[in-house]
Amino acid sequence: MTPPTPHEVTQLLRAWSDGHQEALEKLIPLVYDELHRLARHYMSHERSGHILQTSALVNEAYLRLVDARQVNWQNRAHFYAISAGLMRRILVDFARTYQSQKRGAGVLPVSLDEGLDVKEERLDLAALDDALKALAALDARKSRVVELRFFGGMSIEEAAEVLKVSPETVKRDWKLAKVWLLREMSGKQDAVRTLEQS
Amino acid sequence: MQSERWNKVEELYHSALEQDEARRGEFLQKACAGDPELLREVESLLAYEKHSENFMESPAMEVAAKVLSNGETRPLYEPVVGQTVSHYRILAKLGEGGMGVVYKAEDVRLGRAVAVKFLPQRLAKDQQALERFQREARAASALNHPHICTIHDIGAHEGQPFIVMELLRGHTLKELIQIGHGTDAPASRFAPFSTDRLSELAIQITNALDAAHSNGIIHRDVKPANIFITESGQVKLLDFGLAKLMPARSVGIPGARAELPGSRFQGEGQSTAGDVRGDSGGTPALSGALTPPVDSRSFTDPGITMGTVSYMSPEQARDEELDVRSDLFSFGAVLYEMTTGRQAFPGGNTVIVLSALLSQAPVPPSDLNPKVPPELERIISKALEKDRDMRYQSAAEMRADLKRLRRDTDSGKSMTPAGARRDSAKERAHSTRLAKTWMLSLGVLALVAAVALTAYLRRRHRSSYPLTAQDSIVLADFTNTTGEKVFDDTLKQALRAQLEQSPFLNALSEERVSQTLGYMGRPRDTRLTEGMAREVCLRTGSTAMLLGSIASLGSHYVVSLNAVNCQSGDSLGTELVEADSREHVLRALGEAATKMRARLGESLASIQKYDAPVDQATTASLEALQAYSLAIKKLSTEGDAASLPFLTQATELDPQFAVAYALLGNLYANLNQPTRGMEPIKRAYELRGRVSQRERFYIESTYYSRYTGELEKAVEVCELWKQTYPRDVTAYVWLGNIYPILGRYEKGLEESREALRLQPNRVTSYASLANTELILNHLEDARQILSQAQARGLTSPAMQVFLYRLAFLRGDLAEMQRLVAAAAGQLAEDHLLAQEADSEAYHGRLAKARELTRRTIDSALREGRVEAAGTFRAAAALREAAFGNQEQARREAKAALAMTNGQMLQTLAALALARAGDGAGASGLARDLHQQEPWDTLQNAYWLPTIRAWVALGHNVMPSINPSSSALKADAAAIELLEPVRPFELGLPTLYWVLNVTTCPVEARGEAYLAMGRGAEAAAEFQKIIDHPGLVGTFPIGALARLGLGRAYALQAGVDISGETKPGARPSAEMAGDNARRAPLPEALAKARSAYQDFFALWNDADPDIPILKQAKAEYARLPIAPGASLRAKPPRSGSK
Repeated sequence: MTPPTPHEVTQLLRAWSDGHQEALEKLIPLVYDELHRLARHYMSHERSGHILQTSALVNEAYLRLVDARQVNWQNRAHFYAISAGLMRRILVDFARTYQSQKRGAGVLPVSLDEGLDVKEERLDLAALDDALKALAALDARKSRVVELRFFGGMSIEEAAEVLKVSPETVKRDWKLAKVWLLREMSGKQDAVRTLEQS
Repeated sequence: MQSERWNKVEELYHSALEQDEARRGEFLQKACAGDPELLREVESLLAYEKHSENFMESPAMEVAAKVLSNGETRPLYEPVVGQTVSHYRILAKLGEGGMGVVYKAEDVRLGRAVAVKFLPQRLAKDQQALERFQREARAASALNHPHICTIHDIGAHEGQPFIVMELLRGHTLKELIQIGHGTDAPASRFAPFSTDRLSELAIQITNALDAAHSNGIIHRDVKPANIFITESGQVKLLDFGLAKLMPARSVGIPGARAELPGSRFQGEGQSTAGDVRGDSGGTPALSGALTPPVDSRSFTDPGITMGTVSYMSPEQARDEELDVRSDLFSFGAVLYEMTTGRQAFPGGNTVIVLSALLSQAPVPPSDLNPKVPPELERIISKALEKDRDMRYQSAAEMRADLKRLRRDTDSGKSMTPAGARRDSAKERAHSTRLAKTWMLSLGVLALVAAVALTAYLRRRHRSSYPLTAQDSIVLADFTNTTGEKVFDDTLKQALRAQLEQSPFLNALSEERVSQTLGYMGRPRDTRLTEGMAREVCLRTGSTAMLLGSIASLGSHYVVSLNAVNCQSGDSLGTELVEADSREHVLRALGEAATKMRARLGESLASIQKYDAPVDQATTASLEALQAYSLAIKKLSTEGDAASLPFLTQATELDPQFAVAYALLGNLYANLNQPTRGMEPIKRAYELRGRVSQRERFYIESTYYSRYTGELEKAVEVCELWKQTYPRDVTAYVWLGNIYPILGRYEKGLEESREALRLQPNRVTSYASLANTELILNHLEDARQILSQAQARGLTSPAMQVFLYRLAFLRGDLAEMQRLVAAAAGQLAEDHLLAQEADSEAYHGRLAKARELTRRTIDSALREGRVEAAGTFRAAAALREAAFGNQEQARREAKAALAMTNGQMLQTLAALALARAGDGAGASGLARDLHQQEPWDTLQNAYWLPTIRAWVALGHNVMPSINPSSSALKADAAAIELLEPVRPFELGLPTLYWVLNVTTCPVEARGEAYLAMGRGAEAAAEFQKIIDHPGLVGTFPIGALARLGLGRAYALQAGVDISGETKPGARPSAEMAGDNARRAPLPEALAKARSAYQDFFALWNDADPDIPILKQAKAEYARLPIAPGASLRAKPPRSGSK
């Protein structure tokens, strides 16, 4: 399958944001493709030391999906916002589906740490999504910061541009949102766990 | 939607984060006063702060992709506990991670416990990787090194490869570091490894690396998680070579690294592509790299796992070929973390980390941990050189430096913290932060700026290390701009308490400071401003001064310490701390002082060992400390009595103030009221659990020497004290006082001299030295010491007493009178009157002595010192008994006992009663004394035997040429009772220096021999007394010993001086053997006459009606005139002068 050009993705995103649901149907496989591409990379190369490259790959995946350079400047913020929302939706759906397929209702472990370490943190995207909804009720801007940064893969500055606030404010929002979400998730979903040595 | 409340939570959360972690709690308490729910909410969020750093730092896309790939990272086959795989019975799961899952298992063939690791399936599926895995495992197992985890076996089960290793008990270094500082806690909470421990572990690690490198094996993944420390402290390097096992295929995504436009994580869109060595740029992934030529860079696979990036060498990040030096870089990063608790190249994501390790020098370790020795900092930075050629070239080379570090730490060579040299920037940063956080009052701002600026300017010129163990420092008075009087003196005292815990630092004593001020012609309580402190510093040859200040900052306080070289004026280090309330000032100051100790060059090990927080060890009450500070000040300027009320107040304000109690007890003893000091001393002893080591020594030595009287224990404590704090003069002063009691005068002199050497201005050292020299009858030495002290303007009641004794021993009547006159109306009045009473009594002028004793007692009572008065009275009772006024003696003794309690009072009264025929009363008192002080060395080894001996002698104390058999028996019992006293009999029998009550057991023994008719032995005893005039001093026994000697020789000569011998009486043993049948021996007779004459000479103008004098005259009259003996000796005049 030929990868879609960024331009195509941009068109689809626009269509989606204008309310064309069929656009989403076309976007989901694109995101999944990127996901699988990355996953393949992790499988064979995650341990092979090309850390820089893997991070770069993620960047690139985002870029391919959401390339703001394709959008005129006035719309950029809006475009970022839409794409972050889209990524959130697709990735969370993916996580929910994948989890139910592979591990029943269990939480899929994601190693954020290395080697033979007995303590690993695990992040459950579905649980995060729920927590994020709760956060939105309390503080909508912080919830959007998370959406832009985490799901949309944006930098502080980019998020600030979208939200029309200072980068300093984004930083503070991000900091507090993280602890709030972490607390919310540990309370309800037990999504962040510490594996103790048995 | 955003509520007010949430806004408040947010505001507080961020403000709290800006606080030092240790103070957050207090900050929040204050900020949320009256709103516990708000407090809970913010605290609960803060609790997650530590764990949140890595949370969501990888974008969701990456997380999801990993979820997708994760199935592959697990082993194909996972055993269940209890199952046997090959010949390994699985016992428990130990852990899992990217390199597989590890189980504890039993090797059923060999019966030993092992660890079995099941490798992840992506490895298991790769034949080449497996082959390499086996090769590496073989190589690694061949290393067979004590610091490398042994590989026992490799195998496969149902297609699942596993590796069997030695089972280790302990922790990975990663865990140890985390225990210290939590995952992401700020470095302030991290308890760094001591330099000792760090160098020890590091040397073991370099040993392991050296062994591996010598065998051509590079670890490639040196990191804290791979360094294991067993329970016995042995280092084991894990996963040797495993890192290289991973698939040899090179990078897979076409064009992935060639173009990295506008990395979103970089924010600024700058590309890191330049740092990345483009490899086969665009070559499709799975192209033929199946057989990896080791030397081909394209295919060499550094095999580093995700997350290890923090310890990666730059060449590894650039995907270049690795060599042994790459391991050393990684190890340098590990050392960095052990030292600071922080990663050398921190960052929320790998891009930031990599960019840092490729292009930035890490923050100097001493910025994060000011206690880092410069040598260690140098080792770390050399290991972390980005250019391999500039790094350590081998593990052995690095090991050599680490060994040098360890040696220097061991040998106590001053471990000047690297941080001391380069702190100005930090301080400025700190003050900036303060300024941002708080609305600073102008004064504080000026203070902070001044501290930072002077520190900065001064440090620029500084070249050498701050201090060595030989240097002393002067503590200046604090500049207190808060307007709160309670900080005056208090902070300096607290600082002193904190610094004095250090065996390394030597803070100039208050006594010495006030002396020096005296030389400078200034009042002794002059405030030590910076200028004044500097002058004192220079005059005393001290190296540095410590300037302190306190200023208020809203409801907060800022305390600063600045150590300044008083020669050059250079700053040696500054500490700035903030306390959020008045109650926390002491703690904050304590923390600053501890940091300052490190800064001035004290080793970490020493600080860790001797660092009781001042607010717990000394007192937490500012007011109590204020009273204590005043007491100390008074003590050094005005003496014991002036200090007393403040100390009492201090213990009232803080009933837990251990060291104040101990000092109080000692002051009471100094003021001759030891019994009042008992309760405080006991209390101090009970509270000693919380005090600092130094205070504890003080309390325990006080307790053993004064409360229980266990002098051997007191000596033990003091010797240990000396060892720990070789410059603490108090330990030597104590020993200088205690050894003479044990009769070890030379040892006592030695200790007192050392005390003087350490602190030439301490009056007590002069006093005990002079006392001991006097006792040894080294009059010239004593004179020199006393005049030295006088020249220094040092005086105390004890000094005046010793001056009097010196004059007495030299027969300098004018000086004696001058001293007494000088003491009139002074604190020492009663002491001098007591001396004068004794010296009158020494010459038999009893009426005068009685009058002086009465005045002595009145004087003591006027000062409220009842116990002293009572003891003087008991001593007078003893004198009456010795003079033969039995009834008067009993009366005085009972009167003394009625006045108050007191160990010496009761002892002397008991002795007087025993000698005055009240054996029952004396025995009762002796029993009480024993029960009160069952462990008291002096009491039990000296006084009680003497009292009991006199009880046994009863009133049968007349020299007897033919004693009855029952009397003989009693006298022999007395001799036996006195036998154990021999080692102490010529020692100083009391810490009560004003009393002249020495040689009592010798006298008792002499009297017993006299009563038994054993003249020669009796003469030996009395001669002993006469031979120790310094010890006896003004004690009238000294004069009476001449009479005893005369009687002894008379016995020896065969003269019945008692006039009781009747014809036909049964002769005594001695008599029967010798003298009875012969005429008086002329030689002994001459000696007897001479001794009597000596006595009469001393009692030249004695009161005529003293029973013993009358008796002596009668005896003398019975002495036949020896042939050829001089007739010059006149019988004593019959009237008084």
